[in-house]
Amino acid sequence: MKLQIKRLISQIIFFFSANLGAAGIKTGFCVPFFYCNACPAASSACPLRSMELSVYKIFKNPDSFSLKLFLYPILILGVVGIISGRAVCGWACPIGLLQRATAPSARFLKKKITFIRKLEQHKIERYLRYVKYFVLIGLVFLTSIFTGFYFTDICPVGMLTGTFPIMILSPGVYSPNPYFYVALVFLILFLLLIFLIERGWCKYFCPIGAFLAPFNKISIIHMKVDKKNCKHCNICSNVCPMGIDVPNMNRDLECILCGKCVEKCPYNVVKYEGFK
Amino acid sequence: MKKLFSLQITMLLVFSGSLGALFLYTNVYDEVQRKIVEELCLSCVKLKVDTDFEWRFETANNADIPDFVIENLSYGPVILVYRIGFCPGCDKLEENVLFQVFNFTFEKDDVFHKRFEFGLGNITFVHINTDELDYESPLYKSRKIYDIVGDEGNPMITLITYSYHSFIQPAFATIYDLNAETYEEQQEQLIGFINEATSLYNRHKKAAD
Repeated sequence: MKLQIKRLISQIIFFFSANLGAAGIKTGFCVPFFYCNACPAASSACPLRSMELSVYKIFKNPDSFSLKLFLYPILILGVVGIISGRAVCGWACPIGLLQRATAPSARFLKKKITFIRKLEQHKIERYLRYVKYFVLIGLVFLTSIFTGFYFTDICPVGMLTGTFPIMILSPGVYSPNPYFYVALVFLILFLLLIFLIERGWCKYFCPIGAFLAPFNKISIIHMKVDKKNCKHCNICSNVCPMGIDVPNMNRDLECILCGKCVEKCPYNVVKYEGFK
Repeated sequence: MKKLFSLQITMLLVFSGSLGALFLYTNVYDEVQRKIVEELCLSCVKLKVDTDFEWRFETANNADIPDFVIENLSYGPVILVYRIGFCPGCDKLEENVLFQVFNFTFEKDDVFHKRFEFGLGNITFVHINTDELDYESPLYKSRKIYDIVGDEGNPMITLITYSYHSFIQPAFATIYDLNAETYEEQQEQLIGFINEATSLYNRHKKAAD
């Protein structure tokens, strides 16, 4: 079976497991990827919600629960990160699956629209990738402490997987509150982004990707390029959804271990590696 | 390579060991399930519930009216304000409407009841932060009794009074936040609801007595 088919099956399995709430299974786990616990079918908690809730409680009114809740998503993401780095982004995250579906559009538009092509090649692009770290530190942690403005209030994924399904499943019961329209703007921007730029959310804004990225440097499972035998044909870089310079990469923070480079390399110099 | 290998093993043991200990020795799993996965923070999903202020006689889950409500009903209408700890909508409601209408303040984590004169009679105000309660607590269980939409949405305000439905019996109305545009209008709206409850109470309970 082809690697990308295996990855698709894995993404579908994780999508269904994240939605077991539809079968009445609501657990106390945190998923190690981006999925809103407000989704009527969600089976587990969003790690960001747990983080911001714990930070908020620690600084406003600390109790034993807030400290446990602070450690809980960090340890779950930590274990997953040490084992496989950002592989969950490529193999498990439902938003990754959504972006996989929008990738053909993004690739098509990249060929057609010069601006997108230039933006992706511009030197500013690599700085844009740091935005996700600011989103994690600023919007998830600092606002919870100082301003009371919370990431969940504007989260486009929450809007997509939580707010709209709730409204659709219970027509006439709910109406928008003032934050709805602000979040709607962010949702529209999010949808534009993922249709225009392949894995745009993962590259620039995903706070969970930002949390997992440093683990790529030490993760047990990682990508290895045999630089001696690499012919620098760049097929791998061209197919990489994260826009990584694969022949020169060494435990790149952006790598989601999707394996497209492994599959496409004609010389088999890109491989998954374990304890090495 | 050996250094990296040692680091990987050490970090894996520390992280997985700590996570295992968290599962084994704390109730974090149950609390996350109860306080995050099962509860819905309406303001977090940018929604409010469009329920009309309507007096009902059958409870949401057909359970009996809680004893603490019956007890307090002998004094006057009862107002139950439900919230969870992390709920920006609840914070706004309390700071901008409840504090002004009732002329006293409280902390968001407080679970308390207070009896006082209000408008045309007496009322009992009960503040319930469900995060602070045991599952088995009557106050916690009362949440489901009055949650007419059944989505555990917060904030939730329930007014209980006496009214007539074949015979004189307790009636309740539940709303999830107030619908008026400004905080002043919301304060007036809440005062109107309480006055309606008090007037029903005065008409029916006193007649029955």
